[in-house]
Amino acid sequence: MTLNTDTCPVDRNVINLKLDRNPLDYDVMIVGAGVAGMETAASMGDMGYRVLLVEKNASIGGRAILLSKVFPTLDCASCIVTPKMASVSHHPNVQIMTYSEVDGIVRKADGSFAVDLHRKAAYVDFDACTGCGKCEQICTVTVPDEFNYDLVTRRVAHIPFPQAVPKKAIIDRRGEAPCTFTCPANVKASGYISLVRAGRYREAFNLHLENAPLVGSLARACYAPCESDCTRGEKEGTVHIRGIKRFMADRYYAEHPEPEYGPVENQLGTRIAIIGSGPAGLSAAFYLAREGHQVTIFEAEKEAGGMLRTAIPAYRLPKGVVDRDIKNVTALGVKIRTGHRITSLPDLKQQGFNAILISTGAADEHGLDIEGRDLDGVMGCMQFLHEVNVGEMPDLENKTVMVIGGGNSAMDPARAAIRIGAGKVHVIINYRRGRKEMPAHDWEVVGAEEEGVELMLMSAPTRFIGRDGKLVAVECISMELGEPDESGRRRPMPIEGSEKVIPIDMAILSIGLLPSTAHFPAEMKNSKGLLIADPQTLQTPDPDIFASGDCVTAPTMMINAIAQGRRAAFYIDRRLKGESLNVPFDCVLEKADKNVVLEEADHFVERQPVPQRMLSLEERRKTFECYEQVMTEAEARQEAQRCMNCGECAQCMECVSVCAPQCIDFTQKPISRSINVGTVVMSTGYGILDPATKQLLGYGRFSDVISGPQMDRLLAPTRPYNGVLRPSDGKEPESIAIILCVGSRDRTVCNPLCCRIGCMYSMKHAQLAMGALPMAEVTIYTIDVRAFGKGYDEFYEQSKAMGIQFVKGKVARIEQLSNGNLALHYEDQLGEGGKRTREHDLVVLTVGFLPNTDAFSLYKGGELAAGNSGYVCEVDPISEPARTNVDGLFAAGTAIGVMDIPDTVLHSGAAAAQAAVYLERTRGR
Amino acid sequence: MSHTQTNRLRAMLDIAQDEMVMRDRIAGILEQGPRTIPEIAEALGYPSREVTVWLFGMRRYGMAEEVGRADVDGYFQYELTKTHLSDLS
Repeated sequence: MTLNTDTCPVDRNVINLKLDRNPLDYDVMIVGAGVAGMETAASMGDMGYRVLLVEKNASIGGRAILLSKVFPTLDCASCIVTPKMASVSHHPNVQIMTYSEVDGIVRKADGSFAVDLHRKAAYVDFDACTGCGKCEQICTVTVPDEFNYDLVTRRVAHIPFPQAVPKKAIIDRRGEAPCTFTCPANVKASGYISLVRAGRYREAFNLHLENAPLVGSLARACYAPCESDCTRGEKEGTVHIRGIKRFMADRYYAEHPEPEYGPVENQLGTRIAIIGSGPAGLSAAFYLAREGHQVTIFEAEKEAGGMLRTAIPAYRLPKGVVDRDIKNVTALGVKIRTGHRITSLPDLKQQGFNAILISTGAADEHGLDIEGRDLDGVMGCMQFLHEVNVGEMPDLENKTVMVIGGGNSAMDPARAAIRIGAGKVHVIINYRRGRKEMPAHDWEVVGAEEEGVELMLMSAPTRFIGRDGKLVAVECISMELGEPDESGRRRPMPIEGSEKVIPIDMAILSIGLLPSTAHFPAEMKNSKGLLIADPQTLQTPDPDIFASGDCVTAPTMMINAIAQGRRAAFYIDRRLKGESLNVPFDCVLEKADKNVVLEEADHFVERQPVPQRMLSLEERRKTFECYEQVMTEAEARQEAQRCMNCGECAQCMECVSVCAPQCIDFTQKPISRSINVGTVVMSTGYGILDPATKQLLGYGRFSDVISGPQMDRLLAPTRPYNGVLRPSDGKEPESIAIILCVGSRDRTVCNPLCCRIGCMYSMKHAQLAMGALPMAEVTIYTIDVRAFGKGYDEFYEQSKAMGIQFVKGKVARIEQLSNGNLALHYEDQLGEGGKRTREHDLVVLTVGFLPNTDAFSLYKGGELAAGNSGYVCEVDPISEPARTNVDGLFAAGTAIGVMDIPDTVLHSGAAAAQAAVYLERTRGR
Repeated sequence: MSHTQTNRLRAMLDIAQDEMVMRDRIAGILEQGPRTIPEIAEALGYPSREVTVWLFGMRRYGMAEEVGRADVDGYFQYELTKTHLSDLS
C-alpha cells in the first residue's frame, strides 16, 4: 500500500480500511451504492464474502433515498431505503468507501482484478465529525442544492441530506480562489469577502489577522495582486478587493481603537530579537508573540513602521492607521525599541537572544553617476519622502520638480510634490523608456497625470546644472528603444545631438532601491548586497539568525514583506521548539480553474463594479488626505456580492470556529490506493435527461416548468419548501400538468427508449399532489399509458378514479401568459381532436433517463461492451443476467437499463449470485 | 446590478450567491410582520422566484418559518423564527 501522505495529515478513515491484505483485499468490489449496489453488497456480505462498496457521493442511498414514495404501493421511500442503508453500513462483511471514486479496473491473468481508486478530500475528519451540522449553519457560501435538484440552496460545508449515511459533513473545494492563491501572504481574500457579504465584519478582520497583521496599511497601500487575478475581471471588471478590505479595517478600527486581546497565556522563556520594524519585522513579531515567545524589535528610526511610516505618503497611508496596525503587534507584548540601530549581531547574541531576525528592508538608494549629482536640490526619493512624512515639507510653490524614474517609487514623490505645492508646482516625471514600458502600476500613472504630473518620456538626464552650488537646470537627452536587454525590455539608446536644458528647482532620483544591509558582514550577503537565506526557511548560514523581507528579496511589495515575516516566524518558532525545519510552510490547493468558473457563470446577471468615490481633483492637489473614499456598508456588501466564489469554499474559517470536535481539516488531500479484488460489480445507475434540451417546453425559461425529480422533492417529507408550491412565487398550484415522455421515446434527443417508469412515476406524483392539494386539478398528458408491472394497471385505474385527468396528446410547446400561468399547446388525439390549448399554473416534465457511461471509462483492461441503448450490455440476459463481456465483471440494476425498484432488487440478487459463482470458480471449487 | 433580458432564467448559482445579503434584507422586512413571497418581492424590488430561493434558504437554516395555512389565493405568509428574533434582541 502506498500512502500519498506528502506532508499533510492523512485521513484516518481511509487508513482504517486496512487495505493491505494481500493477495486479495476484498472478494468483491461494488461500484455505486444506490439500491442495486446496496442490495448486491448486502447479499454478498450475507454469503460471507468480504465486500468493498465504493460510492462517489458523500452518502450511500443513490437516487432512491431522494424519492417521496414508491409506486404502486405508495410506501414511503425513506422508510424503505433508510433501513437498507443502515443495514449495509453496519454489515460486518461490508466496508463502505463514500466520497471515493474508482480510477481504473484491470482484469489480471488469475481472474482477479487490480483496482486503482481514491478517496476525495472532504476536509473533515469523519472519525471526529458528529454530524451536528453547525458548520453548515455558519458557512457563508451558498450554492444550489443538487440533492433538491437545485430548487433551493445549501452551503458548501454541508451534510448531503438529512438521512445521509454516513451522516458526516463535507466541504466543497474546487481549488484555491485565484485571489487567495495569488496573494504572497495567502491572505484569504475570498474568505473575508464572503464574511463581509454575510455582514460579519469582525470575523472578517480576524480572519485577515491569521495571515497578515497590518490590515489597515494593506487596505490603504497594498498594490493588491489579488485584484489582478480576479475572475470577475474577465467579465465586468475585477472585484475591488482592497476597497472591501478598507471598509472592513476602517469599521473594525473605528469600533476597536485598541486590540481586543493581550499577550497569550502560555508565555515561553525564549527571547527573539528582530532588527527593523517594517512590514516584515512587525509581521514576524506578531506571529512569534502569538506563540508565546518574548520578542523585541530594534528600530533605528524614531518611530516604528519602517517604510510604512517613512516612505509611503499620507494620502495613501495615514500614519494613524500605521499606529493602529502596530498596536495589533504590541498588544501581544512585543517591545519596540526605537532609535536603536543594531550594528553588531554578536552583541545581540550576547544579550541572550535565542534567535535573531533581520528585517532591515531596502531603503538605500541607487545614485546617478552624472555631473552635478551633489548639487543642493538633487536628492533621492527616500530622502524626499522621509522628510515629507516627518513633516519637513520643502517650499515648492511655483517651482519645478523633476522626478527621474518610471516605477511606483517615482509616483509617490511626484504626487506628493503636487500636494506640497498645492497644485502650484510643475512636476515632471522623466523616464527613459515609453509609457507602456513604465514599471509603475497603470492606475498610479493615470492618477499622477490626472493630478497634473507631466510625463517626459524617452528622455534621460545627462547632467545637473548648478549655480552657487544649487540646482537650477537639468540637461536631458532624447532616447530611442533598441534591441531587448537581458530583462527582455528594449534597451533605451541616446539620440546624439538631442540634448536640451530644462530649468528645474529640484530633482528627485527614483531609479532603484538597495538593501539596507551595510552593517552586516560581507559573508552574510550576496553580490547584490542581499542577505543570504534559505528560500524555504529564511534561515541564514548562522542557524540562529534568520532574514526576511526586502533585505532578502530586493524591493518588492509590502505584502511580500509581510508574507516573509510570517514565514520566518513559522521556522524560528519551530527551531526554538526543537522541531524540524524540513516541513512546508502553507498547505494550499492548486489554483481554481477560471475557465470552469466562467463556464458556470453563464446566465449570471451583469454586475458592474461599485463606483469608487474619490476626492475631487482640486482637493487631491491640495491635501494629503486619502483620496480614495471608504465604501459604505451597503457598497461593501454589494461589491462583495460580485465575488464568484471561484474556490467554492471561501475559507472564511467560520466552520472551524464552531466545530467542537475540531474535525475541519483544510490540509486534507485525496488519498489514492491500489487494491486487488476477486470480482467487480458495476452498479453505477442511470442519468437523467436535461429537460432544457426540449426547448419548446420551457424548462429553464419558465420558473413553474419543473422536472419529475424536482416534483418528487416537492412531495417528499424532507421537501425543500413547506408544501407543494410553485417555485415562481410560493403559491399552491391549482392546476398541475404532468407531461409524459419528455425526452424518452424521442428521437429528436437521440433517446428512442421508453423510460419504463415514467407513467407510474407520474401517476404517483399526481396522486400525491391531489393528497397534498385537495382542491387542485391534475392532468397527465400522455402518448399512451404503459402499465405493465405488478399492480401497475390497478394503480392506473386508481388514478383515474381519484379524478386525475388523462389527455392523450403530445404537448408541442409551452408559453407563459401575462398572468404568469402556462399555456400548453397540444394535439388532442382523442375527443374532438385538433390543436388545443390549456392553462395550468405548474407543469411537471416527466423526463427520460439516460445511460450512465461512467462504467465504460472505469474498465481499463479492454472494452466493456455497451448495448444498442448505451447501457452496459448483458451478454446473455436470460440465462446469465448481470454478466458482461468481461469475465468476472458484472453489472447490476439500472446500469444495464432503467427499471423500477423491485426489478432492481431482483437484478441485484442475480448479480450477487453470478459474482459468487465466479469467485468460487476462480478459486477452483 | 442589472438583470439582463434573456430567454433563460437567471442561473441558480448566481441567485444563491446573493443569499447572504438578501436574507438580511428579507429579515428586515419580516421584522415588520409576516409577509407572502410576492409581498416580500415587491418590497425588495426583486423577482419573486429569486425571493423564493432566498426565503427557503432562510427557512432551511432556521431564520424564517411559515405562519399557519395558505390564504385563499394559495399563498403562505412567512415570519422570522422566535430563535432568530431572540438572536436579534
